[in-house]
Amino acid sequence: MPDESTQDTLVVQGVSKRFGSTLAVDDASFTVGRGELIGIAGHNGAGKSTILKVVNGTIAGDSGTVTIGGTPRSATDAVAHPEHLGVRTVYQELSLCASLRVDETAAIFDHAAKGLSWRSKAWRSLRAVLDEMFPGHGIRQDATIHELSIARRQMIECASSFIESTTPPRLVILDEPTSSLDASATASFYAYLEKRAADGVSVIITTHRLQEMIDHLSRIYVMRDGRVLSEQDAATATKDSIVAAMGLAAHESERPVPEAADGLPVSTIDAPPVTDGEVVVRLEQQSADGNTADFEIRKGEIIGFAGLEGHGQLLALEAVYRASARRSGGHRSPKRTTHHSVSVVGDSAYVSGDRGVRGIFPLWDVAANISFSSLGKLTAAGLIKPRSEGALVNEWYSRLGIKGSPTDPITSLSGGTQQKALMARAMAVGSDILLLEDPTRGVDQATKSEVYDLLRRQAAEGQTIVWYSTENEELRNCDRVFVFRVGTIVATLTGTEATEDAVIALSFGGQDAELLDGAGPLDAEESVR
Amino acid sequence: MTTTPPITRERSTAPTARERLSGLFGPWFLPSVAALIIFGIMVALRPLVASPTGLNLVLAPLIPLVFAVLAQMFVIAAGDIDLGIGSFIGLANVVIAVILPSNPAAGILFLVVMVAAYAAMGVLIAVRGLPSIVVTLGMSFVWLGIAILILPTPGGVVPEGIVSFVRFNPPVVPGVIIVLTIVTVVTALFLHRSKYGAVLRGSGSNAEGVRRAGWSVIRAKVSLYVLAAIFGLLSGLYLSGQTGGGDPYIAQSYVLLSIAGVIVGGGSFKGGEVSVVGAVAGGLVVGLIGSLLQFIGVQSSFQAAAQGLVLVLVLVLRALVNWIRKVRRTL
Repeated sequence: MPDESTQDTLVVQGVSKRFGSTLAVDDASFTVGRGELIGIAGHNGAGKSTILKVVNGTIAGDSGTVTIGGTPRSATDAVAHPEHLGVRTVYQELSLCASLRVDETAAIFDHAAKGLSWRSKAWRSLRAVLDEMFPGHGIRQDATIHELSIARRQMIECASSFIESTTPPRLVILDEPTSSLDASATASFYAYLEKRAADGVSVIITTHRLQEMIDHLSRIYVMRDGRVLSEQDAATATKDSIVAAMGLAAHESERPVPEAADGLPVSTIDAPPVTDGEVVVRLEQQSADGNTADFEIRKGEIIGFAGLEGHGQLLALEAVYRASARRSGGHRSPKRTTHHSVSVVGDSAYVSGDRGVRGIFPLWDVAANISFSSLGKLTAAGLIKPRSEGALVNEWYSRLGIKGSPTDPITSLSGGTQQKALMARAMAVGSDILLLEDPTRGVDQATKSEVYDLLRRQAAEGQTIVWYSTENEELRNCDRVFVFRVGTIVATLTGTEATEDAVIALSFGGQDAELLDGAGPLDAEESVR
Repeated sequence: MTTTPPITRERSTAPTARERLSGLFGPWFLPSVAALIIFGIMVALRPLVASPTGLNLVLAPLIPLVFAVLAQMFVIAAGDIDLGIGSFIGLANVVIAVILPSNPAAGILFLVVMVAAYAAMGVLIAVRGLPSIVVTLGMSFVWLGIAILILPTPGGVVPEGIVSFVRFNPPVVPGVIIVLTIVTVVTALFLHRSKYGAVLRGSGSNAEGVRRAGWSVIRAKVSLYVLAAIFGLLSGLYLSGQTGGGDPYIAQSYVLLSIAGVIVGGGSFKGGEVSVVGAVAGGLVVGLIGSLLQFIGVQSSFQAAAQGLVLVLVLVLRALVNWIRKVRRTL
């Protein structure tokens, strides 16, 4: 066995992974030296999470090799317990047990804590890391996880991945570790990482906070469409160079400096409605500092809700849905969220990007899935009229260009086609407003363009479309884009000016703050149940 | 969805007096108080209930139910639900009353196989991701069917040793109190104070998180189901000793009563959130309500409805307490 101290901790060679029709990771190769802090950058869906899951063995790749600490394994092998190899991972969605106490949580990670005083031992080893990583964290040993804020849960999760345990950490993979941390916690977190790196622990970080990577890491790999496109030395990299490598601004004539909102390449951050139709949605905003502003959405507009994930877009979108009337043109009392009061004229239909959970009826055929929301107008004396139902389904089949037969089970379709069927269900209702929650998540490019065309056609027919997207590049298909930051709308851009750069610059504009909605799976669970 | 308060507004490391106080109000607190209140009313109505003999008479019939509640608690801790526990206890009762007296070895082997079957159920549910409601409901008919095959009509004779063990009652402290205390303490120590107990509760709360921390989720699930089976057998043992005979249908009502007991006892269907003391108290509440209603002469035809109403009341109280705590926390 070669000398441990000079050997690379991780060597990834030619890893590919395909999900259905999507090539999530395409022939990716990179290395992480011993005691090196590296970053992987890329926009949503670039394949960052997938490649990391192949590295730690959570999912099996289709080809390639992963060499950890000099021991190669085929990327096609999944690993049941990567922590035995010294590989620890903190995922973006929190993986703590809500019902356990802090010391019990520590014990689950610290396999070395045994005996009668296992809780105190585990707590001591967790606190040793916590105190250094987040001085003044204020976490108590006997607190229950579900009582803690998201930020503190994230602190515990970050700290627990550095507990010595029986197999000390050798490679720690952190997926958006600082998304809920404030500036000072982030700074001390990176200081801790640098200290541990000096002891030989290697770290891979993915984050949307590009400046963080430049400031604290040694090298940054940039991914796009599943490929590792470039490798940049953090000492010479800039936000610009990384954004450029992501390929997002390649077609812009000149690239702006995305640092402050005033240096933006946009002509206005207060774009007026593009049509002069009637006002369909009205968002009255009261921000934390007491400023108020009104935002109007008019009939036939396509509005994008943009910003980093979890900054209030979903809350606002759901409020629009809750405030919608039951029938076309109707009224209902305004609905409040933390920062908005939403009033709506007309009815709305909602398409969720979370097909499996909120969307499809997996046991039904495609036709039943499409017609479900429209059954009200397809019935006579309470019974469904098969002929009208068939006509409706056929009409949408041809409009959307769905292949196959309406009687196929919905699960036989690809993910993208399922999504189209879901959109057909919502559009077939003919509601005044169509609300889309990340409708193109995990959908291939060809289908995406079809969806964009379809939306434009619907808008031309007078339907108002409000569209929450995590993929900034598709926002240019909107008439206007509302950029959210920490729960409030900070800018409204025209669709043509809603470039990735502009949106990112505006979403990063102020100081980093805690997330508002999408507050981690633990909270989501609590609020659902 | 709630917003997260900023760090600065959270409390610091040292627990305040109020926090210490609210720490006392664990999930087990409300059911324990409820059980004591119901028992207090019974004593007020018939002071003899508080005597050692009276305690035994009132509490002894509740012991099998308490064991059934604990069995259900382990399954609910796994995030599942067991609809077969009543038939399982009935089968245990039949085996103890029919097979054990004639062939002790075969009887014991039979009981061990029953535990193994529960372990297999756990594997099936964990590995195949089958819904526990379906698996346990299906198995409940298997248990019942086997019990009826062995003993078509109530009968059989439970071995004398088991009867005297179950009815053991020392002069000073009533036997039921001893049994309840030992079982509660041992089980609570294991589930709430041992490391593997934490892993078991964690696996019900966030199985993926526990798996990522390097534990076998399948083993945890199997452990919980085996524990459930063992407590089911104990429930059957006490039922057998108390009745002296076998009856396949004897514990059918335990399915819903045991679920009610766990939930009243502070448990939650979310998984991972259970309390041993609470479950025991919850079992006592559910059982004592029945006795109390008899005491105050509620017609038997109304008893089930009245019992249900009291349970709903306890749950409403609990929701209220949770709501108050939540409001306080976010203030």
